[in-house]
Amino acid sequence: MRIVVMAVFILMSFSAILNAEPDDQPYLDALKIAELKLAMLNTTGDKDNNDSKAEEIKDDIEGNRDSETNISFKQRLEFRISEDMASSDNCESQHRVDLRYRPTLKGESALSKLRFVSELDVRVAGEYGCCDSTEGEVLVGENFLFLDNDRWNLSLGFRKFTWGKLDKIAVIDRVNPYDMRDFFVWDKNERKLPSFNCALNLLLRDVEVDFIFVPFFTQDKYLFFNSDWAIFGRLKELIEKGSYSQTVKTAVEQIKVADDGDVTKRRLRNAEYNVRIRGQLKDVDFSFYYMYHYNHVPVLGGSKIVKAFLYNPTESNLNALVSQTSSEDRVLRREYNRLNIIGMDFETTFYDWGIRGEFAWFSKMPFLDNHYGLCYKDLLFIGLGADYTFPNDLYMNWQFLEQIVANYIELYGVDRYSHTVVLSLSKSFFDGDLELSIDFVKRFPYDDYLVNPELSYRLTNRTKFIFGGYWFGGSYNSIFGPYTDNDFVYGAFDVRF
Amino acid sequence: MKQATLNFIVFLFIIGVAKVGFCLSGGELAEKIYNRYDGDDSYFKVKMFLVNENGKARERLLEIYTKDFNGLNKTYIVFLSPLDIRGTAFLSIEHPGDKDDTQYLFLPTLGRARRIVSSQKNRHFVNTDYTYEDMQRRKPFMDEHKIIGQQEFLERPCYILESIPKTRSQYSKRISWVDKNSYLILATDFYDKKNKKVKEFRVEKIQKIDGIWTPVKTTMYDLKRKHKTIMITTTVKYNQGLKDSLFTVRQLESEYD
Repeated sequence: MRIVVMAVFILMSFSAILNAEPDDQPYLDALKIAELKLAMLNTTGDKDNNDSKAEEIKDDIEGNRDSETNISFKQRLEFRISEDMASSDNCESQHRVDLRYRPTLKGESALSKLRFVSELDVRVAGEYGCCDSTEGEVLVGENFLFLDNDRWNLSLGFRKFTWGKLDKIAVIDRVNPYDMRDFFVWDKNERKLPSFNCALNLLLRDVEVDFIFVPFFTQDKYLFFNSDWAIFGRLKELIEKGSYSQTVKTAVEQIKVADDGDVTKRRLRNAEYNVRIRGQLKDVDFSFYYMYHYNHVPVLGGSKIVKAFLYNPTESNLNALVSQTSSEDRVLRREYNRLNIIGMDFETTFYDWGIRGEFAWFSKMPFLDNHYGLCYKDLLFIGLGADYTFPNDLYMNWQFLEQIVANYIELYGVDRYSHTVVLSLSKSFFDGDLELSIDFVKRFPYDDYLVNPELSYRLTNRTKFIFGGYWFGGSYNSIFGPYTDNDFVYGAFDVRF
Repeated sequence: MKQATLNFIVFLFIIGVAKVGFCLSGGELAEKIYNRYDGDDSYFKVKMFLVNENGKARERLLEIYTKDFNGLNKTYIVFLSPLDIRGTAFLSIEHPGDKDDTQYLFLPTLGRARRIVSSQKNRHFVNTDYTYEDMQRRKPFMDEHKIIGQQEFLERPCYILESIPKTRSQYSKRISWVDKNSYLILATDFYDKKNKKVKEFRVEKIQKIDGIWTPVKTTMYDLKRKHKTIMITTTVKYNQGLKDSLFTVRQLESEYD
C-alpha cells in the first residue's frame, strides 16, 4: 500500500512538472512576440498623428485582465516527505508523506464587477513507522462570489481573511478557524480554513469599514489522539501496546471526546460577528476591531480524573482513572464559550524600520485550573513587531508577544505573564532563486521553543524545491515541549501549473 | 537705414530666441519634466524580461495603473504572470513636500499588504533592476539640477541634465537625456556613492498615444549585476476615468492570485 501511494504521488508530481509549460522559453522568441505586439501598437498610432488612439491589443498571454470576462484555471501541487529525527521509545511515525493538490477556478467579469473563486483542497497523508496509515480528504477551499463596486464590495461564500498586522502569530487574525491537526508545521495562512461567511466592505471617505457575518460557527480542527501531533499524542497506543491489564487498556480505550452539539449545530444563534474600522492618522495605518465569537479552540469539559490522566499520565492518575471513573465519565466534551474580543492594530515606518503592533482584550477566555476544572479569565494580548533589512539584504523580522491573564489564579500550563519572542531571518541569493530562512519561537516563562530553518530553490517559475526541519523543546505541559520527540527534517516540492 | 534697423531687430530677435533657448535652467527643466502632462490617469500592460549575464531570461506580465491626484501621483502595479508571482501587487502614494512616498507591497502568501520601509527602497523591486527608489518620481527640489550639454538621443534633440541628490538617495548623481520637445526622459545614467556608473536606463522606442509621448520599450541595465530588465508595453490607455478606490490598500488586499 505504502509503495502504491508513493508511486501515485511521484507519478502525479512528475506529470505536473512535465505538463507545465516551460517558463524559461527562449528569451529571444518571447522578446520577438512582445516586439510584434509593440509593432501592432505602433500601427495604431502614427508617430506624427497627435490624435491617434492606441487600440487595445488582444493579448494571448495567460492572465489577460483587460478583457471584459476572464476565466482562469490554475493548479498547485505540493509534495513533502518528512523523516523523524528524534529517537524515542514511544510509538511514533518515522516517515511521513504529504500531498496537497489545489485546483482553482477563477472568473471575473469587468462589466458587472462580479468575480468568483472556486477552489478544492485535496490532501493525502501517509504515516509509517508505528501505526501505518494513509488518509485522504477533500476539503472545500475558498469558494465565493465577490461583487466589487467603487465604494463598497460584497462577498458570499467560503472565504479566508487576514486581519491584524503581526506575521505568523494570530492574535486578531481569528475570523477563520485553523487546522491544527498537524500542529504548526504548515504556514499560518495554509492552516487557515475558509468558513462560510458574508462580508461587506464600505469605503467612507478616508475610513474603511468591514462587516463579516459568519452564520454558522466552525471550530478549529484538532486531533486529541492517535497522531504524533495530537494534543495527547500516542498515549492511547502506548497503553494499548504496553504491558497493562485488560481493565486498564479498556478504561483508556473508552476515553473519547464528544462535540458540544449545541454550539456546533448549524443554527443562526451560533453566528459570529466581526467588525473592523480601518484608517490612517498622520503616517500611521490603524484598525479597530470588535468580534463576537466563540472560542475556536476546544476546551475539555467532563471528569477531572480523566483529564488529570490525559494531561499528566502518571501511574497514580491511571489507577484513579480505572478505579474512580465509569465508562460514561470517560467521554469528555469539547466546550466552546462565547467571547467578546476588542482589538486594535497599527503599522508605520520609523527611519529604516517597519513598526507594527496588535492589542486585543478577550473576555472570558477558558483555562484549566490546577485541578483540571474549567475557569474563565479575561486575557490581554500585546504584540509588537519590527522589521529591518540590512545593507547586505538580510531581512530580519522580530516580534514580541505579551499575554496577561487578569484575576490570575494557578492555571494549568499558563502563567500570569507569558512572553513570546518570534524571530525570522531570511536572505535571497541568485536573483531570488535561492532563499535561506529561519524562524525561531521562544516562550520565556515555559522555556519551550520551535526552530524552523528552511532552504528553498526555485528551479523554474513554477517549480520550487524546499528543504528544512523542525525542532521543538520544552517541558511536557508547555506548548512545544510535548512534541520534542517529533523533530523532523523534510524535503518538498511545490509546482504551480 | 530702414534695412539696417530691420536687420538689427532680426539679430536681436535671433539672439533673444537663442538666449531663451539656452536660458532654461536645470531646475526649470526638472520642473518641466515633473509637470509634463502624462494623462489624468493611465493604464499600461507590460511584458517584462529579466535577463541575466548569460542571456537567460525570465518573463513577467504586469499591469500598471497611475492617477494624478492634484499633481501627486498614485501608482498601482499588479503581476499577472508567472504563477509564482501572480497576485503580487504594489501601491505607491506620493505626498506633498519632502515627505517620502508611502509604499505598500501585497504578497499573496502573506495575505495582507505590508508597508515598505525606506531602507527597503534601496532593494530591488521583485528582483528587477529597479529599486523601490526607482519606482518613485523624485520631486525637483530633492536634487540640484544642472544642464551640462545637449546631444541627440533616439534621433531627437536632448538636454543633458545632471541631478545631484540633496535629500536621501542611493545614488550620488543621475545624468539624464531629456527630449527638448516633450520633456520626456529618454536615458539616465545612475552613479553610486563612489561616483561610479552603476545603472543605465534607456528608452528604446517612444510612441505618441492620445497625444502623449509614451516610452513603449525601455531597458534598465545594472552594470554591477550584469543584469537587465527590458519592459515592452503592449497596451496603453490614457484618461479612462480610473476610480480613486483602485489606489487603496483595500484594492491591494482584494487581489487574488
